[in-house]
Amino acid sequence: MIQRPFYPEGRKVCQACVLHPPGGVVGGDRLHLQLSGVNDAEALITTPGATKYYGSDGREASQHQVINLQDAALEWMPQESIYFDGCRATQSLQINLSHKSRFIGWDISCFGRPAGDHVFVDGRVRTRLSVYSDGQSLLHEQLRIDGSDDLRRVSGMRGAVVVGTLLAFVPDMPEDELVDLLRASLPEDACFAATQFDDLMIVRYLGTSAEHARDGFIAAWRVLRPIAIGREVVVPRIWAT
Amino acid sequence: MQPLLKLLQISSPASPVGAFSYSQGIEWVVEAGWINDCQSFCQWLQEQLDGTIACQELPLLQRLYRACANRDFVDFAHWDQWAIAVRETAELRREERHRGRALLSLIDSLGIALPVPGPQSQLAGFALFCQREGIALDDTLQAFAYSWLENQVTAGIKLIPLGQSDGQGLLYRLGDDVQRAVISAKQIQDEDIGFSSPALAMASSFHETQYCRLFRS
Repeated sequence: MIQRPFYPEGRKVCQACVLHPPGGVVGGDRLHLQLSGVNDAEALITTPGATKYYGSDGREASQHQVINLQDAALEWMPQESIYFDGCRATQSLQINLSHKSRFIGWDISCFGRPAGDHVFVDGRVRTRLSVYSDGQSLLHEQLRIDGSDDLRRVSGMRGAVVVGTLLAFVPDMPEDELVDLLRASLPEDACFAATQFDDLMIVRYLGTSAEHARDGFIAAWRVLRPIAIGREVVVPRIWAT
Repeated sequence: MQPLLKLLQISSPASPVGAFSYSQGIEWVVEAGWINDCQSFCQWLQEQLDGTIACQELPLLQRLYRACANRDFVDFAHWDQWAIAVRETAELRREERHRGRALLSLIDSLGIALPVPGPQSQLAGFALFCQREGIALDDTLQAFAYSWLENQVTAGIKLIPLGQSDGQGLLYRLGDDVQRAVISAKQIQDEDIGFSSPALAMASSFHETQYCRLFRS
């Protein structure tokens, strides 16, 4: 469900919070979320808390998020997903954009609870991210985690338990200029890396703290938002609570 | 010429595909100390074979080959675009496209008929060449995985560094892993294609700005 929208930046930008009242997702649950924007509409959408995938009785839990933008601007900034030990979960985010649309969004996944009292040992998780621009496939990523062995892959999670991707669609940007600005904005540690290609800017996080990931993404957002959306950052108040 | 000879030609490091000049992030990974000897390198290669190669590269190659065999060039263009869309960084994308162009001009210069539009990825060019030359699908998949492995080992020998006989030992021992990757690739459904490697993607992003490089970015 969507809570009553508010307009901290004036009437032009709608800020809304999407929530799933049970708070957690269990085996057998299938959630579908579709967000569509047309005709220069502008919105920033977030969630009030983490999406939690709990241990499963064998059935799969899934959440499929589809974003369709036709010449509209959307910022999709949900709080993190937490995959608990024993869960079987698929989460997908598909973003369909027209060339004149603008998009910034992120996805943060935690395996187990980062505080450390719940360790991820045995779950099976798939997270998918795909972006299409005018029907043309721009990006396909799929993270496959089958048990904690997959968290130790040298080229994969490298023992980290939190992975995040910040994505911005910035068509017709000169290559290399923006990525240098973006790299300068990120915390100076090896948990963050930025790259730019084919109208996309991507910042990745690999580490142990969802909060650290989000802080870095907000720093990058401060650089990206004026360029991609044409506005300065106003941090949603709900994140402070 | 026999299909076997054509397969050896296209998958040889001597074919002008430029494969030898790229390291796919290994340079940064070696500098960061993630790989520092034959054993850690072997583990790295095994992970790549049962991950990216089995769940992403070979399933895409298989679909591109089938599309060619069915003369379905809409499907071919679809999977060709996928082969670019799964590259996680600017340098990995440039690499795929650069090799694709090199392969395209080789195929063209050999007088092999090309579809319109022509393939843009290396995977699509490789599939097209093999299918047109009568090379069987299984041989195509095995040869691609082996050619990838040989390219990685050659980069590893220079960078880690390893002795030539260590390199040959790895190629010999990892043959079973190549075979397993081919078998499991054929079980993958369309929606399951893809294998993100966050640490490798980050290594490749750092490599884009690394000052001193042996390999091109």
